Amino acid sequence: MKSSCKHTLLIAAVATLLLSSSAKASETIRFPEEELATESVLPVFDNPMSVKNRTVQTAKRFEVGFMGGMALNEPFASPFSVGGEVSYHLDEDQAINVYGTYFMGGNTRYVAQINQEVTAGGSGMTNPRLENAPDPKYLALASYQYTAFYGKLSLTKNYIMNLSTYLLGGVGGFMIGDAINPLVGLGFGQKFHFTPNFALRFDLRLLVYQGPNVVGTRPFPTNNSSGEVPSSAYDKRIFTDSMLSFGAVYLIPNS
Amino acid sequence: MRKLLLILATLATLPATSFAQELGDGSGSDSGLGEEMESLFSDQQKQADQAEDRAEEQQQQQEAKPADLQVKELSDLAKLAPFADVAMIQKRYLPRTGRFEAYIAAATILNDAFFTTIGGDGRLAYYFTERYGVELQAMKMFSSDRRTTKDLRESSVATTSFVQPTSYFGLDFKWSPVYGKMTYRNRRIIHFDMYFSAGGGSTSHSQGSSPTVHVGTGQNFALTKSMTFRWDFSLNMYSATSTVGTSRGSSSYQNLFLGAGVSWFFPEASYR
Repeated sequence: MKSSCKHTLLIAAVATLLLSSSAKASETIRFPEEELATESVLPVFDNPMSVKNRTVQTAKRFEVGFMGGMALNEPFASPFSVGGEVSYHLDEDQAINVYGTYFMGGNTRYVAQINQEVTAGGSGMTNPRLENAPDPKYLALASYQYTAFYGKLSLTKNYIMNLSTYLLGGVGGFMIGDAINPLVGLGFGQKFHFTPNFALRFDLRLLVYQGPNVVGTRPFPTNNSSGEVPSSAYDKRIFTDSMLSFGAVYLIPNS
Repeated sequence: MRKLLLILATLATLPATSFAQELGDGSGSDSGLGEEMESLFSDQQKQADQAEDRAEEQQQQQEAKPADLQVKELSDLAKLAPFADVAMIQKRYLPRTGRFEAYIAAATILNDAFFTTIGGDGRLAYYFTERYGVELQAMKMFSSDRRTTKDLRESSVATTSFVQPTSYFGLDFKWSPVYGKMTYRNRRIIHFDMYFSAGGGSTSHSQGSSPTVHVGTGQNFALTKSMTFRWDFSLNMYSATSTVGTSRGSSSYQNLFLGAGVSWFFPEASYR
């Protein structure tokens, strides 16, 4: 009886020891650091493509459009113009854009006001006759167009259309009076594609050009006849102007 | 004895049709084959009837107008006819309902021939729904003379008679009907929305202050779920009277603002 009791106690003691040691071992167990996950790994794709099937495909296509324009900082001549643009899309992102516009002519309300103030100013200056000063005639600009953004939008969840946003940079000429002046244009724009071939286009450009300084030339070159004073009669200076243009464009389908 | 009872109980549970198929009505083995064929035919007829009923049910579902199908629960999606109705479940990346939008930006007047004007534009909007909201606007502007204005001053023209805006405060109603996404260089998706706003306020300018009508449009491009890059075109229209120099009279003025800045949406939205 005593021996069986001893065996029982011995087994119980060994079991207790094993359990306690295993519990202790589970608390202190450590893995080598090289076996532990140190960071999560995400798949990396070399050439991710957000859009695989474009609704509006422009590559190798011509685009023509009718555009209205407005020279936003023109002080004396009417800012409104009409014209057009032709683009050739080298691929889906890049295009060569040629924009031309013709200014409608006319004067702003400031012409009469300034003519009056100059003569009434008491400085002895003659009337500058700004109505006879050379004004913008037409403008032509060849630009590189880079379409960085292309997407689609939902209009009140009832109508889906595509749009693209692009940057513009180019050079051209600006005819003011009887002289053509060099011109640099930088800007951006958006096209809202109602169909794969038809879109509305909005461009905003900053124009930098050299032109006649019609109020800074001393004395004022005047022409008592009704004709326009030649541009060569004025000093030249650099102007910056904003040009907003908008219109409808058509992408000519490839045959 | 137990086995016998078990066999009897099993036989009792078999349907009567099984007996009819295998044993007929017990009248003899000659007519049993015909009865079996008839019973098989009747089963095929039943299956055909059931298929016809299902086809009619599907046809009724297809004939039902989409407007009649009101999907209120997930199980209702099964009622939609295949390929005829498309259930689109897509969460909006940047929800607006019940949220505020704080916007700070730099702005400039694009169409001022005599002054170069830049300023700070601060706005706070609250959206009642995804499409509709109201927006408070405060703008402070600083102007400097353009070259043309300097030349005119040298010609004794009182350029102070030109109206030169200095600040604007107003309240707009906002409508955001356009929501979309675009890809940047075909590598990254950017969510955006476009809004139109209209309202009124007061413009302070060099000749005093004038009530102003304001209309605008712009786009928000989501940078995160609570922050966007936003640009805004605004047109402020007001009437002002020149009080300096010889040009006295009231004229209408339009200031076309272009602004670009950052918006924060708060509080944090709950997403699905």
